[in-house]
Amino acid sequence: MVTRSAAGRRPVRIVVVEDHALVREGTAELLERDPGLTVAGQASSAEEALKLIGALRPDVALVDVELPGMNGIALARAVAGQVAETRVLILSAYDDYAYVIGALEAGVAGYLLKTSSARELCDAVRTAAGGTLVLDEAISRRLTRRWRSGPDSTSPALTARESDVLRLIAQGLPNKQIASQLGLGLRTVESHVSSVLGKLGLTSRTEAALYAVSHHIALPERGSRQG
Amino acid sequence: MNGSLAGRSVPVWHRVIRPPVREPRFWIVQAMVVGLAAAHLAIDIVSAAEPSTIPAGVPVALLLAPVSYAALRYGLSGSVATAVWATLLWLPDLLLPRDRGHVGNDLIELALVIAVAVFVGYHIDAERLERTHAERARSEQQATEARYRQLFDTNAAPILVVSRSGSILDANPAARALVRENVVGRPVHDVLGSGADAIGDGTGNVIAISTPQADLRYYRVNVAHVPAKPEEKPLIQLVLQDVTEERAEGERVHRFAELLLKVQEEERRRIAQELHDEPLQLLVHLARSLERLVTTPQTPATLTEDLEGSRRQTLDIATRVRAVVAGLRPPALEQLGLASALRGFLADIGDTTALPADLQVTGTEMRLHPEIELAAFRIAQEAVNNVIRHADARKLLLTLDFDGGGLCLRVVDDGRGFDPTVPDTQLQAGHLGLLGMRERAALAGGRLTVHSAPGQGTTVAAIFAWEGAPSERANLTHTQSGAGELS
Repeated sequence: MVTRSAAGRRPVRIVVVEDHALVREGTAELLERDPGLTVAGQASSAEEALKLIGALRPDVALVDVELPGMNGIALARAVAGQVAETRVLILSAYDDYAYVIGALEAGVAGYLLKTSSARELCDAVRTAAGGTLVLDEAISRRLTRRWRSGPDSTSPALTARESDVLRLIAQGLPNKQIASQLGLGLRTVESHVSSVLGKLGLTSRTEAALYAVSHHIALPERGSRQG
Repeated sequence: MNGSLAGRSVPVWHRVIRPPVREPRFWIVQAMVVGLAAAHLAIDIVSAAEPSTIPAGVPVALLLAPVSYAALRYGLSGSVATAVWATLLWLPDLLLPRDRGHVGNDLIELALVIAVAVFVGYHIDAERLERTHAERARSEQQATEARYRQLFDTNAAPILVVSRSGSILDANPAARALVRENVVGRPVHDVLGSGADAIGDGTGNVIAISTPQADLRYYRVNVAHVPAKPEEKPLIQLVLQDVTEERAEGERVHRFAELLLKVQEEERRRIAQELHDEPLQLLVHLARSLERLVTTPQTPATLTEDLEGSRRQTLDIATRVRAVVAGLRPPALEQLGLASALRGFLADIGDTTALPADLQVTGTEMRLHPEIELAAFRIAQEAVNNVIRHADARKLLLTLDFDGGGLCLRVVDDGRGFDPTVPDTQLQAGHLGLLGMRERAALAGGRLTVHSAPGQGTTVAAIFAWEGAPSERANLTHTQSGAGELS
């Protein structure tokens, strides 16, 4: 988890992908005002963005979902497969659950709404650069409400180990890496994962990650913040 | 043929008192009787004077000849009249003074002649009557057949007469003109194809036939069982009713409905797109500008509160516009596909109702033709909204099955249900729901079925065959592709 951006000496490099010119430039300007962030490039379509990201290899790509042609979620999937060091942060006008789940399943580092404030946006970019999943406050609230109103309303007691596993799931780690980080066997991690999913009534790792983030189990690492 | 006998069943006595007096031959017969009576009288007179070798019984026996002839020719009236006439002519002979035994013989023989006259005449009459009836029946049948033939030959509708075993026995000129070749003797399946299946259940299949003018016309096959000869099984008559115009009209109505739905969806899409492209983005931009003003040190402190209020209001408007856009077009459907969009839809439902809703996907999930995806989504949306509004259900289940050569969408609830055979209850209540769903399904090449009963819950199922080439697979389960790189 110790990355260049986390060290805090060098600004987080960002590519903004957005088809609406005014909003794209506004976003870039807003990010540039934060001394810890710098916009390395801008693109108005996913195809253009993929080339740009491949060339610039930024820390974070801030991507709108609805783009002409290839959509932002497909772009996120492509980036995840091609440019390992770039994390995709979705910046969408829509809080649609399908978009959120789709984006997280494509391996994005976060999902943010365009209605977020400048501070929220800048913080989220830094958090994403640090490798932690970040969710818009409103979406997170909505998901929490859903889980609270669900059948398992009483927060089920996870063991300390299970909480660790959940936190690492939320950071997007596969079982093998979770095992090595926690110094456990792969089989043990697998059984912890299924026990976490079972206890929380979740059906996938993505939902587990969402649950963790919305319940503040996977808190952004302090080290990635630059104040 | 004696015309007086034809038709009516006249009482015997009536016939007897009307001898055929206008017939010249009748009078010749009567003259013979006169001759025989005279001969008999002469023999009796001679033999009374001196015993004769000529037996007096011969003329009496010979009376049988005119009586029989009259019976054969004129029936009962002729024979009885002849016998009575003979008896009258015999009277002078009987009055001659002779021994009693001789008179007794004559009387017996005359009685015999009368009996023969009645017996033969009666049976001849009966025979003739029967023959007349048969004749009349035959001519009536011929007339009926001629009328049928006339109808058959001049009918504008093509008609085929088919045997039980399915071979064509007859075809009227319209049918022959339609199929050109000589079809008599050929199996009906060769000529009508699937239309011949109607023979089995009697329902009117509609078949397409290419006419000699090379345009395609549609015919409904009407099946009738027509009587054949006595003791034979009835034949099958297929009347082809031209429904081309009817069909074209139905097609026009259908196309119009399709167009309406399409235009509506396009319009919604366009409005959503425009709202998304301009007002929503501009509101986002405006909110950011206001935020910048709020956070700029140069802004007087007295203004920051108002500016912050304006920013919040702007965001509020943006949120509302976003909701309008999401309502106008199925969110995420185009971008992510049916299952994702439905999952999102159910999540939205979960925000406003306490109804537990679940989505189960079976088979290999893939992207379908946009029209099918949209139809399925709208049907699911309508069905789920119906459940929420009317069903009073405790549980709701959506299933998507991508197996078996098509997509099957089911919306199942455990609510109060209704009687689907009473469509009016729905219409009266102002819900075009089912009708609209059915139309949507049909227009996307699918089929909608509804299973429900009061107290039994409702299952709405829409089935679409793969028509549009299934495009790229949605690959939505590809969760971990980038996860490794995230760490």
